[in-house]
Amino acid sequence: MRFKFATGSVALGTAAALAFATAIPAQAADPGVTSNKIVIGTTTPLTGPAAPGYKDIPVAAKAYFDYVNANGGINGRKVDLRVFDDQYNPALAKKGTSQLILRDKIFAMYGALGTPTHSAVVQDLNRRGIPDIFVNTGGASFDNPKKYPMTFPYFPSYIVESKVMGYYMANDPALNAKKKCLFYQDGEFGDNAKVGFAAAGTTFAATTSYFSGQQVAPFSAQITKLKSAGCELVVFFGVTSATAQLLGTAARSGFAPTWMITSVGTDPSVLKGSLGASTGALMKGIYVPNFLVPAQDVGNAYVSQMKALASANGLEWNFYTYYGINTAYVLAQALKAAGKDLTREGLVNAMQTQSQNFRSAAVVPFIINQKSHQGATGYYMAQYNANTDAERLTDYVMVATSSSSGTARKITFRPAPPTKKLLP
Amino acid sequence: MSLLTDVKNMSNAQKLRTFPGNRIVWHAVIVGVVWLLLLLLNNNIDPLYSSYLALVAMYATAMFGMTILVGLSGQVSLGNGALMAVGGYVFALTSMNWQTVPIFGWEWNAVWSMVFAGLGGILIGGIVGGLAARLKGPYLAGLTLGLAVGVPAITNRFPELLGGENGLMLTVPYPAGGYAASEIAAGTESGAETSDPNSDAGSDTGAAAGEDQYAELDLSEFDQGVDASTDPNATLASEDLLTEGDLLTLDDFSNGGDLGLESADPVVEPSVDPSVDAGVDTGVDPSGITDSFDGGFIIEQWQASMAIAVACLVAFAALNLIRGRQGRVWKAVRDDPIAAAVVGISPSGSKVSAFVVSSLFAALAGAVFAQILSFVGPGAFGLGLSLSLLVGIVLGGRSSLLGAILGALIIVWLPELVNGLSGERGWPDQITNNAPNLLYGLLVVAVVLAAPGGITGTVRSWIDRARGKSRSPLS
Amino acid sequence: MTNFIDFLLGGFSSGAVIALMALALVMVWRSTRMVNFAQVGQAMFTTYIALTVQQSTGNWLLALAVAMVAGLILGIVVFFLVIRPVKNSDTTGAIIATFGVLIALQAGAGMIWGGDPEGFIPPVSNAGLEFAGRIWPVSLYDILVWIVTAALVIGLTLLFTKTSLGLSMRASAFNPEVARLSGVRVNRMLITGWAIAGATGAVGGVLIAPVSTISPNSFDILLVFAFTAAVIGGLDSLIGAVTFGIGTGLVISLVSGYTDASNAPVVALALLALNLLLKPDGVFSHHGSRSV
Repeated sequence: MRFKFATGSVALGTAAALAFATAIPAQAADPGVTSNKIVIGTTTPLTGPAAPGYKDIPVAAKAYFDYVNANGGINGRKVDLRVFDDQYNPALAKKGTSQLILRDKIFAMYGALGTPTHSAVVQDLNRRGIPDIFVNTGGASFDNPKKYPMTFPYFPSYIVESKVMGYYMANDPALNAKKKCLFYQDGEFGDNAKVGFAAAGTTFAATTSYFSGQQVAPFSAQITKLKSAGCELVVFFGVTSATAQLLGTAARSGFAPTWMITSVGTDPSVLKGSLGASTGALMKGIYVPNFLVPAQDVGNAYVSQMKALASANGLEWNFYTYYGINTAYVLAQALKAAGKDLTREGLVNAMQTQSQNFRSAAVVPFIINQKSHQGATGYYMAQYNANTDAERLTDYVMVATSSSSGTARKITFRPAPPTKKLLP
Repeated sequence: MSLLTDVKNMSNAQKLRTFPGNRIVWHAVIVGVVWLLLLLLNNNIDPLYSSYLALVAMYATAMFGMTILVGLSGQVSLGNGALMAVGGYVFALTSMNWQTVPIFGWEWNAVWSMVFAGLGGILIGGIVGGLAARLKGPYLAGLTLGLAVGVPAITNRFPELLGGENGLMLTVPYPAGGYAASEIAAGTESGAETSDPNSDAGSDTGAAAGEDQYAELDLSEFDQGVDASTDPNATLASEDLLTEGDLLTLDDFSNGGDLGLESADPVVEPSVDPSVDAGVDTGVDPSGITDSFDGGFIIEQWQASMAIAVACLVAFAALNLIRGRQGRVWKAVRDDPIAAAVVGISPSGSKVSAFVVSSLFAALAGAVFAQILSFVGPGAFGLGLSLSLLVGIVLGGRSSLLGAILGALIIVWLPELVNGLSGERGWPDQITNNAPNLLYGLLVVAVVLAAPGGITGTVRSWIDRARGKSRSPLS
Repeated sequence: MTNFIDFLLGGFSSGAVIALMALALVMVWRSTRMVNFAQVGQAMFTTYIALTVQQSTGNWLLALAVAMVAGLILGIVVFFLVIRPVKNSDTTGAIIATFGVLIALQAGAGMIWGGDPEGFIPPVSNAGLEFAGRIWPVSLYDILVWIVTAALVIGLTLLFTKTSLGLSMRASAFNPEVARLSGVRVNRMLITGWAIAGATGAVGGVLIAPVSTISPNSFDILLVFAFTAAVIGGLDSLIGAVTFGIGTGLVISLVSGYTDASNAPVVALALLALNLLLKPDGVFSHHGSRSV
């Protein structure tokens, strides 16, 4: 039976190979581009446990593209963003990406969310030569131009983030004197954080974790562990719903260490919903790395314009809206830089050679070239005040690579102002 | 349904067994014709439909096991997705780690990885089946639900081996003449010359950085603050310095966001440095990145033909099992275990064998799934997958292979239907995002109520009624 | 040692939450011999209703009462629209139908209240109690949850064992034909069981919300743990559901505390398999099953 099966499949192999003989004629132009339209696609969770917050990103990006379209588009072409709800399921992400490629005939992918979901499609996208712009994840694996020449991450990896945290703690005497502990979500967060902190030379007095979904009940055991270890500074790598449970459980246990929390785990709009009136008091003093101009800094030309765009479209001004408009703005500039004769190769070309000219609300340098697609290189350190605003603490920024060795370094960086009317 | 008819049927089966060749040949002919038709279909449809066909064949493979387990043996399983995970992970691990080891002279190791996946399925199916044979109804549901949630969670416990939450990516070993992802990577490596303005004087140490591709990246250039090559201000023209009137404000949206710029200058001259167009080597080899791959290899067609092959072989095995003695044994135990025991059938043995067979089929489906996704991860094999298998088998019809095939069609097609029905209608996002799921849930309920025997069971009971016979739609 | 006590107390509180949901599952099983996978969806939905009431009136007791009534009604609606038509003929079909209801309820809640998690303000302090010079991982609110859980178990047990309604419900579930012949209005009993289960789940949801958050999917993992607890406890036994609900909480807490949280689901699966191996009908199951 087993043997039969094996030979049967080999026989199929031959039959299938014969079937492949029909060749498809080469297309003149890249799919997804006409004289007046560019079709791009994204896969992201709009429903299910992973949807909160992230579902706002494509809406914000669409609002920006609509605005650009109303003002002449990009080199005369209008951007058409197609969104597929993958519910953070790799199998659905695969199905959705196939539909976007084969049915919607997208020119490029933009902002596909999640490491496991994107892992199921990244090889296929690169094999087909479809630009895969601004993958929305802190997993470092997609920054690999040799393997994935078409794929471009945007925000710094969790390894970079933990290196930056480690650097900041080591160089702030008050923080460095504290007994430091680590609390992470099992999986990607924990794996990357451990690599980054090991490279940064940060040692922890105690380490504990939770499994995804455990935040439905209080983190009593973990808090007990951290409390009894005498932790004075707790670094937390987890999702925002877990941060809410963490702060709530710690408060009721009378555990009040200094918190340092990953940038993806502290969205105030989500925390406010969960923690209610006490949000400000609980969030005050939390250290959080950030690489965009603080969202409350309305004096900044990026924030004021993006916020105006958001409110004109009736969107809540939160981290996700901000992020969605910002990456859409950068993509629009890349599409424009790729020239009138828009091709996939031209877009990748523009990404790799002109990224230093792209304006964005990021206040850190970008590295996008032939050797590295890292994207944003680092963070500044911020701290929440009682109004749930993260205030910038450092006028310098800390940059690092996703390498398993090497520490962060401190640099000063002055970003360029936005383009006129935020148009590409 | 009575024991007597079962025993009588069994003696019929015994009679048939005198000429087993006839039945097997007949089944082989049926499956072979279907296989050929499917391959013909696959080669003449749009690649998008080939991708659906691959999924349908993959689900059908797992579903044939559900027919035997749920339909014939009468055991409920909420955990066959976890058994698919076993097959997927075994396939991934063996194809990744033993890529170049020929076994008995066979080097195309996808086949061997499939064999190992099947063996893994048999092993796990035996263990679970042994436990499950002692359990009934909700207790079995409880165990299999635990399996559906617990098995994916195990991957987090062993991140080094199993890749944790992010799973494992595998380079699918396509057959000769096919296309391997590594080829493109090799092609682009040669293009990565030293035209990179930020690189250190042409020291291309790419090969040495195999383990850590970030090691060669040097951030020390930022140490002196911002140097000329990365200072955006260095490239700013004077018109880029913004004045108050250049900022986008809420007032600008009074005209629906149209700033009135378009009519003045519809086509903006691209601000591309001419040197870029003059062929700066970006390290991307354009020859490798067109929509049709070398030799006209269409990946969806390959995936579909591979999935169809496995599905047909499994269907052939299932057909022989169901219509042979074993099928009658399973039915006898389902309908009356005590009576079956009286005539010398071991009820628990029958239940375990049903579990093992369905686990084998699930594992093979999982291995096919791994090749379609070129990835395995806990998120792809979660509770949702297990449940959709159960939904498919109940809606399709649970005691025939045709029902399994219809169920596989339903799993793939129903989400498309609800997405299409609830597509763009200008509703608020909150409504639009959730509408497909609402519709899906309601449709599942509606079909269970309207067609309790699934599609095949209901159609058959119509036919029977037309012939004047009465029959429970579930049997 | 104090760590151990803290792990136990913390686990006890999380376990009470699992126990409440397990109670509702057992109620449905006892009254209709079915497993209602939509239970957490019903509880989620009624908790959203309670949240709306609390946000507009600020009255927790009123919110709880409204949730209970809503749970009662939702239980009856689900029974009439979904369960009665499939009942008897087919348990696998019923499982699928209740999953369909779960998906529809989650999508419906997402449509009405949006997908972002929201907090629920507890009626009494949720801060850890100070005693003997230290803060313990137990709050007044936890104690309230324990009391309500205990009251529910005692109340429901009395209902089943001491009242004629309870006796009729048990009879209808155990053998509808015989019950009908003895003059029990079987259908009415089944409806009553679903209604009580709906209300029990609603109480559970409202009590869980302040220590968790509420979102369309926030109770999903509870379904798995509650179902596991109910199955180990014997599905028939209210006390079994509570015991193993709390036991599950303790196991997760101890494993997370002493080893790594990633071990917890694996340990839970192993314990489930071991339990079913030793006691295939659950630990607290009273009547022996027909063996073959």
